[in-house]
Amino acid sequence: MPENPLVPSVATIDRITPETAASDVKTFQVTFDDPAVMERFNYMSGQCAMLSMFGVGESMISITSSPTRRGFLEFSVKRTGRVTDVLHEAVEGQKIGVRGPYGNHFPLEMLKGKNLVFIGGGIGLAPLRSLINNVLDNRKEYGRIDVVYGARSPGDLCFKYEVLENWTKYENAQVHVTVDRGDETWTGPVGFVPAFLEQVNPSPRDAVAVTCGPPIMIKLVLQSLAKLGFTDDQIVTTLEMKMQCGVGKCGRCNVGDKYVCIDGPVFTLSQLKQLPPEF
Amino acid sequence: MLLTITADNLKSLLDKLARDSLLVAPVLEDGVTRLKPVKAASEIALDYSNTATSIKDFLFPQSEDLLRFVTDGTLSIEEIKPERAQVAFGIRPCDLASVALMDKVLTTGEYADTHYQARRKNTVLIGLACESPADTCFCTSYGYNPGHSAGADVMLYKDGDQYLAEALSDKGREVVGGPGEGLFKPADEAAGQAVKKAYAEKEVPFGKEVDVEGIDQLLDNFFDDQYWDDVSKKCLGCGTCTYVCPTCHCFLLTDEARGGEGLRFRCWDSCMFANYTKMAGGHNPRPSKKERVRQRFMHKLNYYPHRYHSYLCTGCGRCVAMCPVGLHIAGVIKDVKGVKAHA
Repeated sequence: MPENPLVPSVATIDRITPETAASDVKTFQVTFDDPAVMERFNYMSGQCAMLSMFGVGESMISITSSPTRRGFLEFSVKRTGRVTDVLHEAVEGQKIGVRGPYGNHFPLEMLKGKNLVFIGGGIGLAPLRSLINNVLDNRKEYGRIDVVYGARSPGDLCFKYEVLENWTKYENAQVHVTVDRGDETWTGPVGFVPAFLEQVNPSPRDAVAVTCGPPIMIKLVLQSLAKLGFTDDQIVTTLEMKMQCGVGKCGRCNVGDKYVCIDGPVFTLSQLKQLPPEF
Repeated sequence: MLLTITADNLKSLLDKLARDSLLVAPVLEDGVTRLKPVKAASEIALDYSNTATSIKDFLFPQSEDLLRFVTDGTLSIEEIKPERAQVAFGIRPCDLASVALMDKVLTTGEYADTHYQARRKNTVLIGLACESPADTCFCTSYGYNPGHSAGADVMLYKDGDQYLAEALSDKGREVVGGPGEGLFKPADEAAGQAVKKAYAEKEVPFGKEVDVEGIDQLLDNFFDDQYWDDVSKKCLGCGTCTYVCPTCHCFLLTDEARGGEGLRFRCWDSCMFANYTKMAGGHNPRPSKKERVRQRFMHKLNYYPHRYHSYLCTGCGRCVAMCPVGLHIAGVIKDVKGVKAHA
């Protein structure tokens, strides 16, 4: 393990899975080359890691695998900028750099025994997927589970096997999927996530809602949750900011006096309301 | 124990230090005094209020290499460690204080900045109390003073044609007892204390004008104030304030590669630049000068105090002297107090 927290360790991309029809989201399964580094990389759902494409730079990406499934890490990445462009050109067997894990995590203790409502949009399901699989692997510790997931089109839905087949098999767990625009094959609901969430109408009683997605979706989902009777303490979400160091030094990811890289990315809505609206 | 050293003996000590290690000291060049590596005491300027740039340049350099990588088919990463030990001479009280503020960010918490930490450990700071504060100096506004010595390994106070000296750390005692052996003499304790007191009480005229008291709390509910729209209009976004500031520490990590090998280095960045917070998807939470100017002053006077319990400014006055449009922290403090008084 490097002494300097800014120096990544070498990891190998073992498997690449295209998630979307256009392949603009891919899931990269990686392992550290040094088994000792792999062993020590203990993370919690909601945490992120910095991926290095040497010669181009680094990107902070949420860890989408669940810590209950050890031995590898998974990152689902949308092709968006310089680093993710190069990552999307990578082939299985290629070496990259990884450092982390960084940030806080979803508050598992707060979720225990509660009914859980997960609301995701597009690639925003990536961090939630870690938490959902984590919760499902300890199914008895949680109450009813509702996953509300939406994407622009059927081809933009990620993690289709889990969303459409695997997660629905668990007891007292329901998955509700919508798309903004259907196509000739789509027979499910059509509509935006916030309105669809109101139709699904989950009860706020003994419940916690966790939401992640594009900023505009999160904004409207928060309003829908309020309409449904969820209080600010019952709503958990994540923030996204530009990051460089990941360890609270380089300065750019602050919102007020909080650094999203070490104090976030996970906040309850009550905590978020204490911060200046600058994200 | 207080000591004295004559001007000639100080020159001998600096010559020795320059010979044995890297010595950084004020040098006058083209009308500007700044800190630079020197080879002999004769290069050093002693007649300056403060250096144009601060000790930050040598503890947290503008650019430094972090690792080397080779990517031809496989991937190997080699960490680069910071180089040799250095002695910095002539550091003013405000800049000594700034090092303590940088330490809080870079060496405390769950992660330490190992490069900065190594440089701190390998640097001896020789402070020099201020004889004549500039008209842009306002260290006293933050509770520092022209004789403030905290952070120095050895502190010097000019006293007539000699210097009063005090070793304040193990590193400082090693200089006084090592290369400085035979060059220092014990000082008369009472006379020495009187010299220190005179420096601590020396007047800093601009400091009397800048009243910092309570500004952190005043800013708690000032985020949405119209003031930020108005004050930010004249900012040019040049970043000079952040570069000359001894406590600004934002940085960027970037790669330079040719063929299958390259370097990753970090360099100073600035919250005054538009791309600083711009994300890959195009979203920028601080899209205009208003948000960026507000960020810089809120960070120094409100966010940092919330996190680390002191202001992220020592009143060195560099931004006051160097901002091309006169938009500086002392002015903002006065303005905010004025806006609040009339609210």
